Amino acid sequence: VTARRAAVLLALGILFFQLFSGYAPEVLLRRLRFLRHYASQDLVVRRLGGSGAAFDRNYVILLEWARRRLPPGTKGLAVFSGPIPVHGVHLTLYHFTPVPALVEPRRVPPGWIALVYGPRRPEGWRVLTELPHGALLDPAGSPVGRPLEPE
Amino acid sequence: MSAFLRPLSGVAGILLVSSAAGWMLARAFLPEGKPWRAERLGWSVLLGSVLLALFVAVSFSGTGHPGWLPFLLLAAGGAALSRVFPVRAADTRLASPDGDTEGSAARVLLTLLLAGGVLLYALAALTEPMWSNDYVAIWGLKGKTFFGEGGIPGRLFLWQSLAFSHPEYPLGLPLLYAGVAFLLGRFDDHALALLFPVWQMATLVVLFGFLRRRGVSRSLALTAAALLAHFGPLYSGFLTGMAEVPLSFAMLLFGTAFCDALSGSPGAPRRLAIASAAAAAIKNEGFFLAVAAFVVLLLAARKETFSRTVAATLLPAGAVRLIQRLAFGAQPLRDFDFGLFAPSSWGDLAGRLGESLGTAASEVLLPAWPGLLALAVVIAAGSRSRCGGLLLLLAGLGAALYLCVPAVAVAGPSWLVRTALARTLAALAPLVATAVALRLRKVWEPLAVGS
Repeated sequence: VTARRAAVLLALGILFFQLFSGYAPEVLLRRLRFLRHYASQDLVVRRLGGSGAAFDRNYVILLEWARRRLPPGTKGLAVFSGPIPVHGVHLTLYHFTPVPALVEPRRVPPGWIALVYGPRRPEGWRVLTELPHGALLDPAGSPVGRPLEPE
Repeated sequence: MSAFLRPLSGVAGILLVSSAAGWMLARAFLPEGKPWRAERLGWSVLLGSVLLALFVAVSFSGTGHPGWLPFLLLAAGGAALSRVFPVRAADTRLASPDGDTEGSAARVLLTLLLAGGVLLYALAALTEPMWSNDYVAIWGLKGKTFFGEGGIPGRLFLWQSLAFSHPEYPLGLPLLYAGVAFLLGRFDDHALALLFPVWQMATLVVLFGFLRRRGVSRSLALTAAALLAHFGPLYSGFLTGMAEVPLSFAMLLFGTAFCDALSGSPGAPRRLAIASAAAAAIKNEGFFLAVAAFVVLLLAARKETFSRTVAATLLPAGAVRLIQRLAFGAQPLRDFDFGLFAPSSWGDLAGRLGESLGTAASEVLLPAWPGLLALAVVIAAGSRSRCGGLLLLLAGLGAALYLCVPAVAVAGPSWLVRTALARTLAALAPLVATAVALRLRKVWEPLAVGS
């Protein structure tokens, strides 16, 4: 075997080793356990149990409750989430698609309703539905576009 | 049947039907015959994916609702056209070598390794609903919106609050997501993930088939495919849902068709054209690949193939960009500040380029040095191969761009390097694996005999 061929074999061996060392047995087992546990569950439950909801599962539970309770013909949803990571903002908009949504807007657009995470209930806003970890509210009774918090 | 397996079976059925339609369409792109069979299988997946995205775009541009009827009509129309314009002549000059000399034990081992890579990626991709941020913020958001709205709403391009979803990105992947969802009857972002292992398998099949057709031994082709199957930086749960896996597949098809076109293979300009359109419809990097190929053509094309290859390379990618621009207006590349190219900013630009390369070296390349060194060794140890060289040149131009472009990133060079460089480089892996195997062909043969 020439030096050139030996170098090729050695390099390929390193490449295989590098790629195989990227696998963590505990990750593989966790994936199998996840599939076995969640495969029979609804898609929403699988998302709730997955990586995308890990930043705050209670918040994602609220999103799903709100999605199911949105009044028919909802024009849009202003979500007051409090501080969440940017992934949470994107997930919020994705979750309500195709209903347009905004996270922490300065004003609620006319005709839209609001979803508030946590116990806050802004004065003058009508509670449509109390939900686990939050509530759907209608700011229609208050001046149009009234800010949630004092500016 | 479990809540997951039912829609998963549905998506599997849709992909089988679309790939079967793609198989019929492939008659217009690849010659018949055994040397082409594996590649035809892979191309069928691409052509089926194109059909799934295209029927949604066609339905949206008319008044029809996307469903099985318009999909089947489009597939039938394509199949009929492919019967009228088949690629007739079989390419007999580049057949696989007769009989291999390597031992069957090595082949079995490599096949098992390959199958293991496919299974492990399928597990990673299908563990949970697609979740990575770029899927949720860009590709999935648009696909789910198209499906939910039954159209492409203007707010995706107009609302500042949706700017994070990159209105300037191509719409091929979201249209494809919507296409599968329309046929399935629901948007199931867990079952849709099946697309990704299917694209991985199609990539591996094309890689293997192309190498065999180019005279590479079975064991070397299997080695390349097995290595690629386990390439975690590309085939990961994180990248499932994002554009890199389908882009890498389209790039491989582009590269193989590019080589074929330059060697005058029958049907190659058609294959190059469809791969160019597909790559540009998936990601902006796909459009850049067409531009890079044009540069390579200026250096390497022979007179008799130049104009046809240039047309097949640039026109389809340009057409994809033009159609999106005409339909939805010009969208700026918001992540980049091209004002930095002004002469007055060159000093600043040089500093940012240094930051980009420095961050890339210290945070992306250095941590991967053993693998990169091994890759450099197998590239250097290979012997000259025209196609291998062309593919390396294409991949090298891509890598050079990805290393330099963070210099003009609005959010700063280091930010773009950290968030995007590793995965954009990873998408070049199928091109590089093909190039390396082609270059190792002559070195490998004595190894196989001796084994």
